[in-house]
Amino acid sequence: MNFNRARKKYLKRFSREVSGKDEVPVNSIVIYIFGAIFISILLAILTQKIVKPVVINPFLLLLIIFLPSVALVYLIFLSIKYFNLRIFSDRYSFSAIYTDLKDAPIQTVKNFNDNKIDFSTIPLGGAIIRDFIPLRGGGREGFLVVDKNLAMNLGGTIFVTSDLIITTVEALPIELRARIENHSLYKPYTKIYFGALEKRINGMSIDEYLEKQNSLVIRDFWALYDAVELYNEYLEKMLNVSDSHVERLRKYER
Amino acid sequence: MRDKMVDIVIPNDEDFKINFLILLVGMGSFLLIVLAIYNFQNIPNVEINPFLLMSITIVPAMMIGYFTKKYVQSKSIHIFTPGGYFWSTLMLNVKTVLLPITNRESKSVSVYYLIIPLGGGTIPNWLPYFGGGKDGFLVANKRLVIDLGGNVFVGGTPIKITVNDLFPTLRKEVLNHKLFKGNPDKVPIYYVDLSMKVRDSDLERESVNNEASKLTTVGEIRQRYLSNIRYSKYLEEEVANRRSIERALNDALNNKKTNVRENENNEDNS
Repeated sequence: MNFNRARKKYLKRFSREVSGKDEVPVNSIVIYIFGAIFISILLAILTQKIVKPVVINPFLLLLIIFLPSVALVYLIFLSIKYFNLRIFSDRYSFSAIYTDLKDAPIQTVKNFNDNKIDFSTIPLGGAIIRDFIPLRGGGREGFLVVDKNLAMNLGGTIFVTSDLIITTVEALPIELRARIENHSLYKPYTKIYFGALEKRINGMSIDEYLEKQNSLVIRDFWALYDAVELYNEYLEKMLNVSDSHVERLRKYER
Repeated sequence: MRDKMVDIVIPNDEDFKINFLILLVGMGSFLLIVLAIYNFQNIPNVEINPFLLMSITIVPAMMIGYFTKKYVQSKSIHIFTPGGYFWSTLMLNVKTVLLPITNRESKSVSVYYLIIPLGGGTIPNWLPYFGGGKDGFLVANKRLVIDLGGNVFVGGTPIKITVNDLFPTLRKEVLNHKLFKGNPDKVPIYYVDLSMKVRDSDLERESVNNEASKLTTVGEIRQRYLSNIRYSKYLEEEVANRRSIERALNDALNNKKTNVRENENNEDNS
């Protein structure tokens, strides 16, 4: 058995690249919905003279149109946020228009030891989805006020590595309070998700924990790498043995 | 002062609230039903094409179903990873797989992997939406999965592969998972094997198989690893093929021998 030939054959078989999912910039849900409505209307027009119309009370008809349409608008509004979740913490997830901490406004506050802490203030709610209508409404779900050092950019989402407490704007330091109350999206009695204390895992911060695990994960990775290579070597030997058996049997057959 | 401090903290949003929109829809529906009941004899019925009726009832109902599902997912707990990936999950049917491995230096290493079905969701005091596995599976080194007490953070950038690109034991476990459905070539597997903290220099190994390693970046090494797995799958198939050929040839040879023996016996008897 020529292993180079086998390898080439295998490469040819597996070299097909998976095509990108988002090549056409049209939302698939929109296509399905409008497709279904279009087909139904088309069927209604084409079968106008063939199919007998059904008789229905006008108020009942109004009801079955009215109820689903209101519910639908509301649910679309809610579910749009799902596609736009941007901020995650230990228990919460929020949609927001900010995807990068750099873009969020910062307010510096002095603590009891006169140390300066930068707080990011992010209005929660609202959404912008690719190829879809934007949903305005930032600030409707409150504001996130978090120590800038306790939030991580994950490349499209933000991870708040702090234990968040829900409070009101009155509980914040004066500078932060003024900043939020003057925010264009601020509404009275809004919730504030405040994060100033770092979340600890086994006494370590998340960064420290991941650093500690790094060498062990690399050891695991190489172990798996070796195992696959050793398995391939074993399989190649098996293939060799099988090939020689087949050749021997073919000779006998002749 | 103390009371003020207590008032400032809002406990949670679990208290019973009546949504204004739900109230409006409920009242509107009630009014229309009452009107329909009291006027069904006075007001003449309207005639409507059944397909048109379908388009204004069934299609929105389907849309409502879909968006309700998305809403439940949005309120559920999430798994999120670097690279902007996130999925809703129920964190049920999570499999822990132990891989006892002996490496090239003949050292035994125990590697734990987690198989987490993605999709599904639940809201407290609400109907659950089961559907784990519909969005694929997350296969991650257990050391990188951090349960934050609700949401789950996976500290490594995932690579999107198919079940065929997994380590043979993991592949078997995923294929045997009770929530695994559909075409194995299409179900997405998000594989996390290295930490987000890993640098190219961290993976350096002086030699691989007594040869100086030419692989320098994390991407290259991962690519080679996946390539090796695909190659092993190919080899497995080739070995199975050869064995079936071997069996067929063996059978043919045995039949031949039996026929020759029978012919010889017949000749002897005659």
